[in-house]
Amino acid sequence: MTEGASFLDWLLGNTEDWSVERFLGFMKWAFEHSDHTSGAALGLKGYHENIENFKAVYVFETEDHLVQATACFNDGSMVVGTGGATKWDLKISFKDVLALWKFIFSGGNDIVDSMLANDVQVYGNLNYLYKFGFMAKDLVFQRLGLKRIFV
Amino acid sequence: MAGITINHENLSCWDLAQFPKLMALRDKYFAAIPEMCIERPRLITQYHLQNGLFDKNKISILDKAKTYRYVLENRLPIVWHEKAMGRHDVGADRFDVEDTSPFAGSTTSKFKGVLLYPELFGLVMWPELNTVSTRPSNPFYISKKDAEELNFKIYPPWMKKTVWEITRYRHYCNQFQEPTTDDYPDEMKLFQNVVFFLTSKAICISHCIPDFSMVLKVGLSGMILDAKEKKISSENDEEVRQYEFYSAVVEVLEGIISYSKRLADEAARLAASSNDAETKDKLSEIVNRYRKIPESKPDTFLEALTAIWTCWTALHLENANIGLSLGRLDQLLYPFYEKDVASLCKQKRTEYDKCALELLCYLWLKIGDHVPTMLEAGEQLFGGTGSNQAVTIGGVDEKGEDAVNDVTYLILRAAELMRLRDPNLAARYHPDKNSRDYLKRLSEVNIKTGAIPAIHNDKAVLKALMSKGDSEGQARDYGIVGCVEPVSSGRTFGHNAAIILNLASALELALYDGKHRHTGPKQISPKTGDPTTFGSFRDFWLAFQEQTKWLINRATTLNDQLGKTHQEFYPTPVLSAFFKGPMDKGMDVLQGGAEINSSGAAIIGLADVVDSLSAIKKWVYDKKQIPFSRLLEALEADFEGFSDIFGLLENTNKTPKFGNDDNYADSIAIEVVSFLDKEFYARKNYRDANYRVGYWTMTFHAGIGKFTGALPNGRRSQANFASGITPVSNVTHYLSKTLNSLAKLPVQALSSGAALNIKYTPEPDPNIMCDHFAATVDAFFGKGEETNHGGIQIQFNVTSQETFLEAMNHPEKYFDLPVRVSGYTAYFVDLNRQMQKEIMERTEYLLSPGQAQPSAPVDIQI
Repeated sequence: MTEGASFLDWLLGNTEDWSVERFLGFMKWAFEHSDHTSGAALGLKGYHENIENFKAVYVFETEDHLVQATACFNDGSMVVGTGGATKWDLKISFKDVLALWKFIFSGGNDIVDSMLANDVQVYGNLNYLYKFGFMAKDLVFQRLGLKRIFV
Repeated sequence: MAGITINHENLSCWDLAQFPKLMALRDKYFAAIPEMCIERPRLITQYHLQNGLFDKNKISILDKAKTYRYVLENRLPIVWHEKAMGRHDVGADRFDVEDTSPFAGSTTSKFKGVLLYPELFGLVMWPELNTVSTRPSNPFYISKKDAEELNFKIYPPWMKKTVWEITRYRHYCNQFQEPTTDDYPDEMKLFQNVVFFLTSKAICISHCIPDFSMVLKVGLSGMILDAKEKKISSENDEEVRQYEFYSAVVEVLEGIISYSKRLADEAARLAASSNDAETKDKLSEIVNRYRKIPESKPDTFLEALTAIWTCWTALHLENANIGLSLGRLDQLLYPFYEKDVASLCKQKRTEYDKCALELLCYLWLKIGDHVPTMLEAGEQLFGGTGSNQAVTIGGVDEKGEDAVNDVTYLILRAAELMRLRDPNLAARYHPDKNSRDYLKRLSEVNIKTGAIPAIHNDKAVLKALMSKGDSEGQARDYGIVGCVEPVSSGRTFGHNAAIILNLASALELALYDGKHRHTGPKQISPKTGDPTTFGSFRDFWLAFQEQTKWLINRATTLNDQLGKTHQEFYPTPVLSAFFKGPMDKGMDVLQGGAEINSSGAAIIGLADVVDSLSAIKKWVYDKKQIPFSRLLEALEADFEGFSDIFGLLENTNKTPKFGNDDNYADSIAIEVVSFLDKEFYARKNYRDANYRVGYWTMTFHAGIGKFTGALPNGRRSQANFASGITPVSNVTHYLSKTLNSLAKLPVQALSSGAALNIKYTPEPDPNIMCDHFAATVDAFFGKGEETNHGGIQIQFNVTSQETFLEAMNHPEKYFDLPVRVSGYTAYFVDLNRQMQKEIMERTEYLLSPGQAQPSAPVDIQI
């Protein structure tokens, strides 16, 4: 995994390369490095606190199930997997990856916007969605200082 | 009947310039943006953690009462706010407020605050914590420190304890007590789709009018004494329940007294540290007043206002304020005013009235000291809404006689001067009992403010309420809740906005055999048949009825499930203490303690649905000129390439429309509202009472319109629906035709209120306009007639198109331009573009000829 600007270029560079696992992988990296020198340089100090004492399983998938990913949080650790899960706290089903990316990168509370537009179906405890929304936006906009790319 | 003794000439002379400190405070109020306040969620969360409430399977009313007492005893007592936050998104910062209000205390710890209820809907703000301060539309400020406290400490314990989540979990788990996709509730899926219905109990439950008569009569100490006397030994389950209820009431009322005493102590501290004699005097007066009120009964007008205000802030600590309304303030306050002025000479009386007006203006600012939680995407559906706290004036008294009094006129003048969206002023008018002078004054204030107050027809409302079982006495004491909903003041725990049902979705499901274009190819509701195979309009009508019944069933089911969660996890001791019924029954309003226990539904899309049914009836079945299959093709294409069909459907001269005094369409409207009334009323809610139906749409008619395809009435895809009970814009050029159509509706089918939006062009001679205005209201309300008609309410926008355009270009100059949306009042510049366009596109009438103004299409980028 690369760091700094080159990493961000890789993360956001080419729309054809967008993938859920890539973002979740970066989130995992950010949690793991938040209190290391490399993470602190990116403004990640304290980010890990978000998942301390937090247990939850998230499933992300497109409606056609072609894209599936899981994020499992367990008392400070995060494991990213491909494929679904039988037990989860929140499942987010998106029309396509672009819809998921809009949710993560548009800045506002656009998961609700996505629900209004019928781009997304959410199953499970919605409050886990709100927490994930905070963590994703905190990482991308506050800590990495990216601007909204969807409005 | 109280005689009118106030000097109208004086009243009209006093303006804000006479009250410079008040005017300065009003300016600061508009300069301030709302700030998210974490005081309440912090204290509530602390208490729950310290007392193990998060681990309980059920929370008692006594536990809740102790929670609220803890909040009241520990919240910061703020006498005068010192700072407010400017438009943070454009670089503005904190500024001094120079608060001089005679009313100490506030709803939040901020000058203009956003109350957060983590147990209700507060967690929806989580993703926005870092961006809400700078979001482009209606930003809320929150400091980084407070955002962190919410993120790390306050929100996490509530993740499994919100009303919505508890309801979902309790009703839809598999055998392992784990929710699964398959078990995910139909009702909640439909809710999340937004286009079918919304149920508001996950957000609030206090959409009603509390009863202040007891605190004004005996003070909180008298109410505590009453509760203590009713606490009896607990022998059986019922007595245990009642004992707990009365104990809970004592807890919260003592909590309110504690808060008022701490306000007095804080005022004393400020007085001691002040070097200014005038300030010292003001603070000393506050000290004395708050040491007495609301513990003891008030003796003066100012003390009565103080009692109401202090109890009002306590009510907000319990439940999200979305339409919690103050009721008939002129009736509650008049005895105190009358007593105050009884022995005054003419000159002293003049000074007193001026002071009373100033007090009411200060109270208006206080009532508007908070706004509801609103997420960024919510702006689409509720853009620009306040908390819709209605104040009701006028009408008839308990004997059916004219109840308009001097305080009615003082409140009208205060509302005229302040021009605030909250409180939302509603004027009752009985065309056969109230005076012409009163109606002319209502007309004048509407013309001057452009939108205030809405006018409600006592004759029609009384009939509507009594048709649902309210006694004559209960009905005569109705007040308005939220937007336009009439309920018996302090007696009806009605939650009129429990359900918002999109009627256009029922039509859609009938058109597409149980599918909806917004949700794609999946089957949403039962199949009612391919309409292209129907042989008659009756077949289609039956399909529409079946789909509507199905939606009503789903919506009421979810509402009742949420209600049961409230009963077991969020009892309401504060509201129950201020209600008629609970203190007699020893029962929380949530359990059915109130005298009247109805629930309510508001319908979106009435006029568009009626016009669509009319179009189908005429062209598909009566004239057989448009095959159903071709009509569906035209809808699918949003009428592109179907100009012949579109030309027929949208033309009022060819297709009968509701609002054009055409019995063909109006009879369908009568059928539809009667059917909805019957279906809702047949259902029992979780408190074993019936549902009532109303027609107000807030901004949903624009928000949900955006997600709805073309309809058979010629409405294009994504266009706004008509608002409230208002006919579709431009169906007629004649105001009288619109009013005649409305008057044909059976009033008993409108028992939960209706919002008829009428837009007038301001005219050069305000006196002539005022006369015409009043005459139109009298005619619409059936003056001198004994009828059953539906002229139940009317509200106005009296602002020119040019002013609206100017306001869009220079919002900073028009920050306080009020408009009627569909029920509530909003500031035009706070509305989203779609809603601004909807208001501008409404038919605009010139009152003198009673005809529509020719208007060009509104060309606004959304």
